Amino acid sequence: MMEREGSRKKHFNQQKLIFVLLIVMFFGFTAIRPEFASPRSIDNILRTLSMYGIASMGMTLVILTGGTDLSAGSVMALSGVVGAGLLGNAISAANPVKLPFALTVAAALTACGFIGLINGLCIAKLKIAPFVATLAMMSIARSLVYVTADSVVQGVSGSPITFMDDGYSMLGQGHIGPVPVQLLLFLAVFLLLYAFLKYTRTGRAVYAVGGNQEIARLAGIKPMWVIILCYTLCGVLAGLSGLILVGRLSSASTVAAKGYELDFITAVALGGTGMRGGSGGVAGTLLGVSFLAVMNNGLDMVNMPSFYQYLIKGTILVLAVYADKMLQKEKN
Amino acid sequence: MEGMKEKKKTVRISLKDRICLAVRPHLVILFALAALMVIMSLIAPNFLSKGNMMDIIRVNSIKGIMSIAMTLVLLTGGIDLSVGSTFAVAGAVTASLTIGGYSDYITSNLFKCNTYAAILIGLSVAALIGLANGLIVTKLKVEPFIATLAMMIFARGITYLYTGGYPINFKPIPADFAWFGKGYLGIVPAPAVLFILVALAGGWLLRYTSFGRSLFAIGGNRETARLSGIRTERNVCLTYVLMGVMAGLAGIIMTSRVASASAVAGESYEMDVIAGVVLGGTLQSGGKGSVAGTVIGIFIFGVIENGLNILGLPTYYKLFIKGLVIILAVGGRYLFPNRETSRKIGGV
Repeated sequence: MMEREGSRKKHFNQQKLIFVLLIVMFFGFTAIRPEFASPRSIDNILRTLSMYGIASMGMTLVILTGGTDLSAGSVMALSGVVGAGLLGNAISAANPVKLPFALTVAAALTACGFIGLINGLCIAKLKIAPFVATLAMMSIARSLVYVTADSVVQGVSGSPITFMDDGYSMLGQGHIGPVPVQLLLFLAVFLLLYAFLKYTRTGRAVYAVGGNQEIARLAGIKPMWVIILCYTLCGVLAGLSGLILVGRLSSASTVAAKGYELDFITAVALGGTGMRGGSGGVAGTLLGVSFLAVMNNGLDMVNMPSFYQYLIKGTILVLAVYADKMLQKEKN
Repeated sequence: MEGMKEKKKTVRISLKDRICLAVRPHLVILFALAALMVIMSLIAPNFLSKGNMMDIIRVNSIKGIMSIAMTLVLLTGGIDLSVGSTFAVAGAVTASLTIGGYSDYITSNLFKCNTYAAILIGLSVAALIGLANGLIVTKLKVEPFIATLAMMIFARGITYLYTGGYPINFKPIPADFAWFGKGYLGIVPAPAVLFILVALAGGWLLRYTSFGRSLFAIGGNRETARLSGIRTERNVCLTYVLMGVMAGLAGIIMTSRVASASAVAGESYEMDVIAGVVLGGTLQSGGKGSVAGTVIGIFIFGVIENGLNILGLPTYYKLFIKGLVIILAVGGRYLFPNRETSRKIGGV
């Protein structure tokens, strides 16, 4: 109970730690490889960060309610194949439907929102543990990915949908001035969610539900609707990330984004949002996701073998969460 | 306390009643398993053949061994996402130490020893990973989800580091090592023998030892358990160590079965294992669950997978049905609660 009070103060420390590490890391990598700070490299980092970031924002909402969403990776892939499939200009396409770019985006995001809605219903209505419900949805959504891709592309089951479309290229590779389009989308999502969580009644209710559902209910909040809303939003945002991924590659793969959900959860945890819910926020996740993007890109650029990246990532995750607990204790 | 009372009562009742008591909580999933087998035997040719049955048992024993230990971990309200990585570490370490194991990386050629010593070392490494998990969870108070997620990443890194990314193969595989994956004891496949032993040990632990009974109490309410004199931290830590050892054992059996250890072995196994345990009626929030349920849960998935493979259906059917089964089974338990079963579950 004690931990949940004063959520803003509590996570100041972990966020500060991650922020300092982020700055140190950035200058460290630049010192070893000056190209790391080149515009091209930074552009690359920002684009990776945005793609992961959008889905991580949705994950933050879900974790704030005390849940988790393991289906996020599969949902990303689903939005990719639905969006790319409906375009109707895929190579060796069997799908006669030809929709304009905007409609395919709308259809993909609706499908993902629907998956999120079902997640929310299973958790809020059927009272299935979030881990279990979304684990099941991870399987189901992945199977829908295969069904969709196979109905669009002739040939071997599970073939990717390869296509050319200006709209998607803009989404995944485009720039407005020097700024990547996906970064703008990411910042828009971030600001909207930040304002939502901070200034709206429903946003505050998310924290209340995560803190203690029963008390939230007694305070006149309907926890069920808050939970359903959060999972639906998480689905939509994972879908948007999926479209960006597809736009970046001009190809929607059936095995895309496998295991990404754990990356999103890692980013959220690094940002100081507790897995029990009720504390943390999207600002921390912005920091967490930046940290991971800089670290992954930097370690690649200094030619660190990928083995060590695993070791470093695992260690930092535990240490960051532990450090937070320690700093909290000292404060008390 | 309750465990003691129950024990006294069971001493008096007859064997028949005892079997009824043990079976009743699992009636629904047992029925589901039986129905599945009937359906599969009708639509899939050769499903009921002896060879296929042995195959199902052999394949699912490997995940089964892990799921028994996962049941203990979930009972305390914990979770272990690192089992797939531990599986790979133990397999790689054992393969590299076994005579005949070779790869293009230096670690496989440094030191060779007796098969059983190699297995023992593999299991010890797995136990160490489990111990690290347990200590991080109990001493550093990091949530099990985050702690074992970090360990999943970390241990995968160790596997890559140790194998250099190269698979470890055998030239040739020693007979005593091959037995663990491919051998038989009488007509029973060796992995199944080990699975049965692990399941019996798990059931015994949960039913008849104070350690096992304490896990229910810890999962029910940790503070109350601590105040009633249970060494919660030690016992929770022990479940992670056991989990590590069982994941290691499963990894070693798999290495022997496919005669190769790879750095990517066991990826996403944690999800399959947890799904099986949860399907078997163990609550993910802790405090309620049973080994028998877990065994049935694992075999339900095993039968679905095997039947669909025989029918030659694409893998995505399997994914879809698997997800649906979890939602129906776990959601159904809430919609149609059975008072009696929910009280009696948590026995054998």
